[in-house]
This record gives sequence, C-alpha cells and structure tokens, in this order.
Amino acid sequence: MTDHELEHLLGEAFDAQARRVVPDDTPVPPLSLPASRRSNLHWPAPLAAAAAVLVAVAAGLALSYGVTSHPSATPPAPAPAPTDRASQLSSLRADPAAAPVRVRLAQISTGPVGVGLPVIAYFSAITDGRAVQQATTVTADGHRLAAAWYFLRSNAVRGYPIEAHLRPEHFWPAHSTIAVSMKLGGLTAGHGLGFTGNEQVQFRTGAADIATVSDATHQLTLTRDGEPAGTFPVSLGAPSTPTRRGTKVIMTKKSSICVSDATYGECGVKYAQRLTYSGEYLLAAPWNSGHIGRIDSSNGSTDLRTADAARLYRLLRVGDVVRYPDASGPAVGPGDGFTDWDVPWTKWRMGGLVRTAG
Amino acid sequence: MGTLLAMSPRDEVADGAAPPVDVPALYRAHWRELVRLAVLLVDDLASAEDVVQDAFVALHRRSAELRDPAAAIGYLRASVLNLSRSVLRRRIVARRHAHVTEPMSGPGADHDLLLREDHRAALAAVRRLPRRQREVLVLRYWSGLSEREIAQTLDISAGSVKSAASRGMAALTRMLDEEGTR
Repeated sequence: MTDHELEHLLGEAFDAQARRVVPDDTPVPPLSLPASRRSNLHWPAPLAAAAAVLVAVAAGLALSYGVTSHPSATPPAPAPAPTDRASQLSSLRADPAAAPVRVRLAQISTGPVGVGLPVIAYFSAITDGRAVQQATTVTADGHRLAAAWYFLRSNAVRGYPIEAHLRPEHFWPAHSTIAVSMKLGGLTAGHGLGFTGNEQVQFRTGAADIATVSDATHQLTLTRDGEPAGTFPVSLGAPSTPTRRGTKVIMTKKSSICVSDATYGECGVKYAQRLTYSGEYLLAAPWNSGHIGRIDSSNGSTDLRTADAARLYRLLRVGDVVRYPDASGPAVGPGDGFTDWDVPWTKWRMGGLVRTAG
Repeated sequence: MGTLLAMSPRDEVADGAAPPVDVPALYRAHWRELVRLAVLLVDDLASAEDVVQDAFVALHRRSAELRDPAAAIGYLRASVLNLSRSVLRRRIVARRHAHVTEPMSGPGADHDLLLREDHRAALAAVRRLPRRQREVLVLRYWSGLSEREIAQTLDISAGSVKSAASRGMAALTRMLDEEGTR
C-alpha cells in the first residue's frame, strides 16, 4: 500500500467510524453548565448544581418521550406499487401517525464471503416482523431464493436493540451473487411503528468451504465445493472449558490478537479466526503443541499448530462454515455470533423474538 | 484558525471590549464534530460524550476571558485531546486491576458489522498505535488540520508532529500488510 492510498483509507475509515457512532441526525443533547461565578443569580453552589441536575433530568425526559410518543414529523412514504403480494402487504401498512423505525444493514465484506454468512439488519424498534418478512425478496444470480428473518435482542449497535438474521434453509449457493431487497416503506413494524424507506444489500459468495471438527479424532477436515481440501490436527476445550457443539461461522480474521479470561491474558496470538462472541477461535497455539491431535486442553478455542493455523488463515474467509458435531460443550445458538444454522427451518421461519408468520 | 496563544492570560481583555464567546451557540454548532473527534480517540460514545461535556464546562469557566470564537474552538479541541487522554489512562488502570485485557464476550469495537472490512482493519491498526501517533493521524486525516495547527492543539513542536505522523504511517503500513486479508 502506498502512503497516498493509506492516507485515503484512513480518511475514509475515520469518517465512516465517526458517522456510524454519531450519525448526522443525532440530536444534540442539552448542554448543562455549572452556574457561572459571574452569574447574576448568586445561588449557593450546591443549589446551583442541583438546579443544573434538574434541568438535565427534565431535558432527558423530554427527549425520551419525544422518541416514543411524538408523531413522526415526516409521515411514512406511501406503500410501494401493487405487487402479487399486494393484498397481504396492504394489511401490513403502517398507521400514518406511526413513529418511524430506523433500520441499518451490516456491511460484512467487500469481497466474496463464505456460504454461511447471514445477512444482518439492526432495528431501532420492532414488535411485528411480518411486513419485514413479506417485503423481503432474495435472489441468487437472478433466481428467487426462499429465505427467512429471525429476530433476537442485540447490543451490537447503540440505539438498535434488536437485530435480525436472514438465511435460506441451507447455506447460500456458492459462487453466486445474492441480492436482498426490502421494500419496507410505509409498512408496519408493530403497533404505532412504521418503516419510512427501503433497504437493499448485495454480496458475492465464494467457494463452499465447510470445515468439520471431530472431537473423537481431534481432526479438522476441510472440504471446498465438496472436494477434500486438507486435514489438520486440533486440541479442543478442556473439560472445564469445553468447546461448544454445533455449526459456527468465521466472523473475523486477525493476524494477531490478545486473548484473556478472568485469570490470565496473552497477546501475540496468531492466525486467529473468530467463531463466537463468547470467544472461540481457530488459532495458532504453539504452547499446546504436545496435545494437538491427541488431547482436549484448550480454553474452548480450536488450537492448531502454527503452520496449520497459517494455512487455514489463508484458505478460509469470513462466512466460511466450521462444524463441531461431537464437541463436548453445550450447543451454540443464535446470538453467539453467526450461529444460526442449527435452528430448525420450521422454527426459524416463525421469526424468534417477534413473529414473522401468520 | 485561532491559536491557543490568544487565550493566554496576558491576552485577557478588559470589560467593554468584544463580548465573551457564546458558549451555548458554540455547543450547538460544534457538538457533533467534537464528539466524533473524541470517539476516534476513545472508541466509545458514552466516554466521548462525557469528554465533550467536560470540554464545554472548561470553556464556560473561561468564557469571560475568550473573545475570539476561532480561538475558543482551538481551546475546545485541545481540551477534547487532553480529556480523552485521561479517559484512556483511567481505562488502563482499571484494566490492570481487573487482570483483564479485552473482554471476551459481547461484540467489541473491532468487529463492528456496520463498517466495511478494510475500514475495520484500518481502525483496529490505529488502536494499536502509541497514543501520540494516533492523535496526530486523527487530527491530520480526519480533522484535516495542518502540521502547525496539530502542533498547537497538542502543544508540541512541529518536528514532533512530523515524526509522529511518519512513524505512525510506517507502523500502519506494516500492520495492514501483515493482516493480509485475502
């Protein structure tokens, strides 16, 4: 990377981060200043401080009521043009006085992704997901693909307490362009809540990389588009810190990280590919080399020899699937990363936290 | 762009000169930009909002001495830098006592899914830089300040700004090349 390219990247990244955390439409909170020494009121300091607190509290109250009960200043746009599902959608129109719901879609990657990466949307509020489900169309290389949203609580983005993941019944088709369109404008997100705009996202999938980790044989076996692509010895979690069972997905890749728990921390851990929010990784564990391929002794992560971890780091991408069919820990479930694929399709289609069917 | 020199005590103006700066007006006009600056230095919104609130309280205490709105913005920016530094120092102390480096659970700043992958990687690398280098790069490439203005904001020499910037850029290049996402 040239200096010029790096300057450009930095400017963009700083700007993206600044606008993400403090969007342009963020209301400026009330300013509370201590009473000035030169104030004409000459209140004793404690009284003045108490007054400032009262002002701040009152302003805070006004703000929070404003968000929930004030009718939308700009009423939701009219419902989209009639479609074949017009009659279903017409019953899901928002009340014109509904409060607007904010929606943001995750931007996972600019390049191709693995076939296990869900589409993730964040919502400022929602109590009924039927309109979201019915207004969403998904295509793979132009062909319609059945996919469903599943809602859960979220603390990933401030002001967006609910997230939803979109997935087909099985993994995404490999080597495809997936396009997701959400024609939400004018539809309801529940009583008194309405969407004001449409959303869309498009991404490409790469090869179907599926890694399967066997606790019985202490091996990770990788297939790429169904063909064998390597076998790697591992050490999974010790009995006190067992590796969780089920289907996980690579969330992020870091050439070097710090790991820690309540009693110890270590930096410079290499070739780390994150699998769960709870802190499971594929990683290089030179300190555990004597047990790799033989004994479960990790802190829950999948310990690999350094050369193998480096090779998997080069082979795999974000969204690739890593299955643990016989690991000894509790099963992973939605909310611990991109751990969506073990939810039975019939249950997934009900919508989770809010209903999407019926 | 105002300079910090304009606010030193010897420049205090006797009553009857230009009116003191209008702190609430500055707050409305610059709150968003300053919170964004603080976010780029301390990473979380709650701390950033506190930093900016405290910066305005500090400005308010001195508002009678400040007549030039441009100088006031320079003063606010320098306060945000100083207060952000204190936030980071407190955080390191708290962490040392807790014997924990990064929290293992919950989504952290480094896998924010609303950011593009290359932006996330760049921001993660910036977080690993020494404090001074990070400050200089944020002021240069986000605030768009000149070397001289950065020197005034951080109260260091122009030469120190130059060397912090070039060492920061070199370290970032190294980290991002190492990262080598495919």
